[in-house]
Order: sequence, then C-alpha cells, then structure tokens
Amino acid sequence: MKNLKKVMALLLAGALVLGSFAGCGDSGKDTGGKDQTQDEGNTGENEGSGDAQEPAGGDEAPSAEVEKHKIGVAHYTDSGKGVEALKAYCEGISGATGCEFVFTTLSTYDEATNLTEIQNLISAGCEGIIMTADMGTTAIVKECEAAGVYLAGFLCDYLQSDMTAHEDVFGSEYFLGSVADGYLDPAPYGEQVAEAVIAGGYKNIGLITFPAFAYPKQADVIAAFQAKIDEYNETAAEADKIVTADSIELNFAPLEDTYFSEHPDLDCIFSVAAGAGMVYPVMVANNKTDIKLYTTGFEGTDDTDNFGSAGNQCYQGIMCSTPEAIAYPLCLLIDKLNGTTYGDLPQTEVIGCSPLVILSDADMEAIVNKSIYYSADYSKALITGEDIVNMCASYNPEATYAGLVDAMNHLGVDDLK
Amino acid sequence: MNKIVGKDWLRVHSGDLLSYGGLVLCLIIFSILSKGKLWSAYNVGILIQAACVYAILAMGAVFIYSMGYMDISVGAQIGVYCILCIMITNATGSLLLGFLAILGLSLVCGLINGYVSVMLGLPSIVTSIFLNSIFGGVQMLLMEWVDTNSVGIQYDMSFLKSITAMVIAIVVIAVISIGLYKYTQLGKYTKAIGANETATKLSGVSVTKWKVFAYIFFGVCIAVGALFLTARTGSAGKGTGTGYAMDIMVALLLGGMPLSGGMRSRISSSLIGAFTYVILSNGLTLSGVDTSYVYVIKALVFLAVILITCRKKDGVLPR
Repeated sequence: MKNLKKVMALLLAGALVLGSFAGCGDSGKDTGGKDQTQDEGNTGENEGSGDAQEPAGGDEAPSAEVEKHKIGVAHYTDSGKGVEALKAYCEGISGATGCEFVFTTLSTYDEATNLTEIQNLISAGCEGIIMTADMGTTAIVKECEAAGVYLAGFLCDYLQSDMTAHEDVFGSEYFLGSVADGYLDPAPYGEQVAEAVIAGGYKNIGLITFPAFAYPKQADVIAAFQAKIDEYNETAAEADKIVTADSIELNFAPLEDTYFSEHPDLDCIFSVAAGAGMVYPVMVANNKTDIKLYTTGFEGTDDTDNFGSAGNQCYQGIMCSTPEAIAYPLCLLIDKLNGTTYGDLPQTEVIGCSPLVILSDADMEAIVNKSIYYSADYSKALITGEDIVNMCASYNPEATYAGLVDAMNHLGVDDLK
Repeated sequence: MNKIVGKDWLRVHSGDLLSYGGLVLCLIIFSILSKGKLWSAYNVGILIQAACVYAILAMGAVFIYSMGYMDISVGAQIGVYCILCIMITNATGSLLLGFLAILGLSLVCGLINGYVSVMLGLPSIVTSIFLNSIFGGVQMLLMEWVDTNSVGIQYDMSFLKSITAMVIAIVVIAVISIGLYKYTQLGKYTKAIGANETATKLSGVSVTKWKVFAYIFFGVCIAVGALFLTARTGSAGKGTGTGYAMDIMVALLLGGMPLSGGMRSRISSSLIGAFTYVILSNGLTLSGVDTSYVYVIKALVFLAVILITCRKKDGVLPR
C-alpha cells in the first residue's frame, strides 16, 4: 500500500512537472543540437531562408536574405525592467534578424556557475553567445574556442579580463568585443551629475561606490564629479561652496543606517552603486527622503514615482543603459557566423554607448512614454531588427564598423525626444 | 521460485529503487523536452564537469549528515582553498605544494569542526558557523590584498579539468567513501551517532574520535573538490564557493539523504543527488525554458523528488 502511494506520488509529481512546462518549451522550431545547427549552416540549407520558418515571436517579417542563428544571451540578472526590456527587444528583432535567442542567468560572484551556464547554452545549440558579466571569462573563452562558438559582451567593459587575462580573452579569435554599460570614459557621467548638483544648489554631498576591486571605474566617475565640483568651488562665494564627504564603498550590501548620523548635514547623495536597491530603501527607513539622490540603475518603480517633481522628489538623477545596445555584439556575431567582417573592423575592443541619463522631468517623461526600457514595447525601440540587418556587413556590403559604433552613440535620452 | 524471489526482492528494495526516482524522473522529462540533446556527447561531458565538485563534496558530507549534523562552512572553505591554491601555485610553480597546503588546512579545519565542538559541548553547526565567518573574512582579505576581483592560475591544469580526470576522481573518492562507509568502523559509528548518539556513547564508542575522523574525511573531500574547481575555472575570487553549503544540502536531499542521519544514510545519495541537481539546471536550459519560470520549476521538481524519495513511514520529508 505504501509503495502504491509512492508510485502514485511519482506519477502525480511527473504530471505536475510536465504540466509546469506547458508553454515554456522551444519555439516549436526544431533547432537540433549544436552539431545539427552547424551542419545546416555548412550545407547551406538555410541560405536564402526567406521561406524558412520564422523564429518565434518576431515583430518584423524576416528579411529574405537572413541566415537563421541561435544566440545565447547570458545576463547577470533575471528580473527587473532591464531584463523585461531586453527580452522584449530580442523577441522583437528575432524575426527580421533570423536569430532565435536563448536566455540564461549568470552569477556575479561564481566563476563555476558562469562556466556551467555557458556550457549549457553551447549544449542547447547556440552558435554565438552574448554575455554580460566578466567572471570566469578566461575559462569561458577557452570553452567557446573548443566548441567553436563565438562570444561577445554586452553591458560589460571586461576590464578585469583586460587587466589580468588580456591575451587569453581579447587575443582569442572567438571573443569579438563588447559594448560597455554606458560611457566607456567615466568622466562625462560624473561631470553631468556635478553640473546638475551645482544647478540644484545642493551644498553637502555624500558619495557612494561599489568596491574598487570590483568596479574600478566607479572611482573615476567620482573623481570626474569631484573635479567639476572643485572647479565650481574655485569661483563660488564662500557661502555657496559645495562640500563633499569622503567617498564610501558599499560591499554589495545596503547602506548602513549610521551613514546618516555620521553625515547629518547631507542634502544630496551621488551613488554610483545601484542607489535604487542599496541606498533609497535605507533613506526611506531612516526618514531621509528629503536628501536628493543621484544614482545608477533604474527600477521603474519607486524611482519613477519619486523622481524630479513627483512624489517625495527624492530621486533627481538616474542612469541606465538601454537594451538596444545589444545590437553591437549581435552584429559582430551575425557577421562572424555568416563568414563576413567589416572592412574597417579594428582589433577586438570594448566600446561605450550613450546611456539613458535622466536628470529632469522632461527626461523621465521621455523614458516613460517613448523608451522600450520602461515599457518593454518593441515598437519604441531606437534600433529595429531591420536596422540591425542593415548594420551587418554580411547583409549590407556598405555597412561599416564605424556606423555600428556611431549607432551606439545615439541611444540616449535626447534620441528619444 | 524465481517469481517469488523477484517479488520479495522488489518488496524489500522498492524503497531503494524509488529513491532513484528523482534522477530517473529528471532524465525522462529532460530527455523528452530537450529532444535528446541531454544525451549528446558534449552534454554528458559538461554534466560530469559540473557534477564533479558537487559529487566529491557530497560524498564527504554524507559522513557529516549521517551523524545528523551539517557543515555550513564548506562554501567559504572552498573559496579560500581555491584562492590559496592559486596563490601558492603561482608563487612556487608547484601545484602539488598548493594542494598540500590546502589539504593541511582542511585537516586542521576538520579537527576544529569535530573536536572543538565536542570539547566545548557545542553543536557542530555552531563551530561551522564560526569557521564560515572566519573563512569568509579571510577570503575577502585575500582578495583585497591582491586588489583584484579574481585571481587566475598560471599553472597548466588541463589534465585535471579533463573529463577523464574528473571521472577518475569521482570513482576514486566513491570507492574510498563506500569502503569507509560500509566496511570500517567510521561508517558504522557515524550512522550510529545519527541514529542515537547517547546510545552509541553508552555502548562504549568514542563518539568524539569518530566525529573528528568524519570531519577530517570531509575536509579531505573539500580540498580535493577545491582542486578540481580551480582546475575547471582556472580562477577564483571573492565570491567563489558562495552557496555551496546549500547546494550540497539540496543535492543530498535530492538523493534521498535523511536530514537526521542514521542507519538509512547512504553514499549513493551523494552521487544521485549531485547529478540530479546538475541535470535539473542543464535540462531547463536545453529545454528552452524561460528564465522567469526556472525557480518555480526547480521548486516543483525539488518537491516532486522529495515526495518520491521520502522513506519515513509517518513523515513527508526524509528527516
């Protein structure tokens, strides 16, 4: 009787698990394993695949000439507005570009997890992988080399690999380059915020970053901010001078409550360290939302409701990168997989992109009403699937690498307006 | 006659057979959903690579869980051992020296975990919390000292990261573990301590001695696991090892290990659990499951496996 119950439990559990998969599986297209996908490419079965099955979910009709590819997207997080927008964007461009996207989530701290996830993508038949974290990259690049799978970066400057394993990563023909999370040069963002702080008339500023060993460029943002403030102080009247507190590092944990008692006069905080998650909740808990917050990262929740002149008006500045920047690694991967490269393609490099720097009500209105980042609505994308096809050298002989880089510099708030 | 024997054998071993149900369930489901990709040569290879460290650690952990204890310091220990192994190897050019150093350290930690807890009359989990904090701090200090997010090894560990070497390691540790567990006093007494520590003590067994031996063997497994983890990734950082304590516990539960230890504990739980745990993540990706559903599905599969593998008459969980 007991075992009968267990057999029943087994059957029910099986049904439960199988049921939970309903609607979650493949797009219905039999992509086959990696070998099969590569064989298809080699035998040219997909050439001129306008009559082939359209990849799932594309909002645009497939271009007649595009090759079908399976691309893995290994993102450092699996939730939030940024992820929703990225998935909506990839779904939107899949039809026109002929790319099917497979998502997985990476770890921001464990090399082995990342290697395993990339191996899983390779095993799932991905021919190219776009990765957003620089953790375990050397082993991952070697794995991709062995499997014949190309790798490119997105929202990541690969500074760690650049400094410690440049030859293994940037020297590999299987690593095609990356687009960073916003400006590659940290100075413009720091200066933009400094100008906003000066214009806002704030006098006592707190500065917060993540640890330098993890995000070395955040210190440069703060340095650029400080330089601009110092420049202002040189000519400002004594009463108008701005005082900045020593920058502190958040060890990937929320700000300590004691920060406010140690700095009782603060009227503004500039946190390069994910302020929406790490700083704002602590400000709320300590009833300190009268302090203005400039920060990176955009949740689209409290930060929208309390931005500028709305709500408690705590948020005055937000910076994030838009999902359309994935066009950079995608174009590089598509061209590589199609066996064509730009005539002006330089050595593997990391480029920057114009981020969404939100510093006014008008900026926020543009983001809310006109950006895919906020709405996850593909029709609002600044770069469409057709645009991506046109930017690929393998589909458009006139396409240039310079054109691709230039497109990455037109993803800011001004381009939305 | 054969029919009766077969029936009897099934009656006696049906519980054991069902404990493999979780693994079988995962294999069947993902074989179907992945359209056979689960069994491709490449995928089988990466499953072995991914499961190797979990299996080695879990086999050592069986001795601890058999006593009804657990060790939450394993993740932090792994992290420090990987970093130290890399630093020592890079400095001396000798991987053997790096490994011996972490092996020595792991033995000391095993001694502390087992002996200090008995001497101070503390539950073993308390000393493991203490060690977890110490190792977590040391890991952070080491990374701040080298002033980088990750350190890479400059020694060629190609052989150790090969599937052949990993299979050999799993087999060797399995043979040693099974030998110790089934044919020596260590296995007998760790199970006895889990079943009833007081009765074991009153029957003249030196509980302290066998606890220390169990923790020392676990320490050896942690050192070996750290070596293979280092070989696989070629680097280590501030977050290396994070989550391993929970991963090992989940793997053992998936393999049907009773949390309270005792006579029902088996080495096979570690191997079944490690592979089930790895196949679960692998299969979900191969099946193209949306990342939004992954946690829910993992939880459902976990629940299903626990229901299948439970072996306690009156309970639901294998406790």
